[in-house]
Amino acid sequence: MTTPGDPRDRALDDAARALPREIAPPPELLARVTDAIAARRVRVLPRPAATDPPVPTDERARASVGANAAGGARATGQPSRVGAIIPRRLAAAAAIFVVGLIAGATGMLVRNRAQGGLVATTGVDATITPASATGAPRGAATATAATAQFASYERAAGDLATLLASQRATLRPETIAVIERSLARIDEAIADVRTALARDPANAALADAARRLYEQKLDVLKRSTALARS
Amino acid sequence: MSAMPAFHPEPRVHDAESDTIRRAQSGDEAAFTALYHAHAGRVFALCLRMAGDRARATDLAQDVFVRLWERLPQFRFESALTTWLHRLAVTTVLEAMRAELRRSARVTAADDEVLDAAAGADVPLDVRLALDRAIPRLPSGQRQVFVLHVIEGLPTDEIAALTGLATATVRVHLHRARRHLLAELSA
Repeated sequence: MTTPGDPRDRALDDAARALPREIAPPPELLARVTDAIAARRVRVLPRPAATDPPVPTDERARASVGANAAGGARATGQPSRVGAIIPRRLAAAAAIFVVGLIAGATGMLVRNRAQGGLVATTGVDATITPASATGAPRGAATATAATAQFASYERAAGDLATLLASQRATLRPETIAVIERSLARIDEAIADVRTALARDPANAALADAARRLYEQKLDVLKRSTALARS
Repeated sequence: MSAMPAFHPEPRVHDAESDTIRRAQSGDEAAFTALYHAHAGRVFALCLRMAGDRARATDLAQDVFVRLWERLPQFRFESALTTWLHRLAVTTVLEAMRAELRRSARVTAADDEVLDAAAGADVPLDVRLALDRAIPRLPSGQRQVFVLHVIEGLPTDEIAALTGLATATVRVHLHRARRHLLAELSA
């Protein structure tokens, strides 16, 4: 800490140091934090088991990137020779996710596929046809069919999230942040719609809205895993 | 010279908190919530002063606590959690601010609920309020340096390392920040 020579500067510094050390955060902050953590822990960032030794982020990144010098530099936060293309990738990611969020999906976007040795097993139950393709079922059948379908979506999203978590070290923090924000928004919307659906189980429009949101989530996850592989 | 701010390294973690930390490290959400409540005011104050904007500060504080959850298993009890979290918060905030070009709003202390009103009781309240209103109006670089150095107690060379600025530049920002603030306070 430098000590200013000017008495007025010293007085200023003293006054600044006397400012409150704590300021109450907005009440919603804790809920936002727990929601974000829940979204990450369950879907994108499964926590390591308690017995796992902690691995520094840089080590994980290096292990993932391997011997690629440019990638290794990027992963360790050093200037990268491929740095010039990264903003474009990030911009592409952001654009993809914004489009994914606002446009919605009209069909089942995720299917089992293998690319580059990574198998993106979605686990979506192919026997459950989206209501958007068949017309939504009505009454009690709506709730039953929707519940089964949501479970199928959740499994698919879980599988993709696990894959994405394994690829995390290949993505830049900014890109991860975009992905996580997108997923958090979708999860929040899904939770809202499902809460409404719980109150009104026969509402086909709500069920359809939930399906579209799940499809958007799968779309974001699928595009993210593709981005990680690119 | 006044005493260093409280985010100074401490020899070891208090036993009661260390138990909470260990439980949070193993995934106990209630323990994590307890840690949140213990540290949120401090983290939010840092974010608010660095960002100069309450909405942005809320986003930053969220990022800090999410990162805390992710990295808590790496905490080795070699320092106080407060110290470790402070560094995590500073790094998170600086990374976020470097990555974004938006925002330059105003914030006034009167809008915020001060949790430790006794702090700085020897400095007149009107001076503190004026200063808390003036800091957000500093240019971003000057504000970051002033907050980190004067309020948070980081040495200039450490700020240089964290921000990527030359130490001389940090000192220039600091000098200009003081000039700006003194001009504001005397206006």
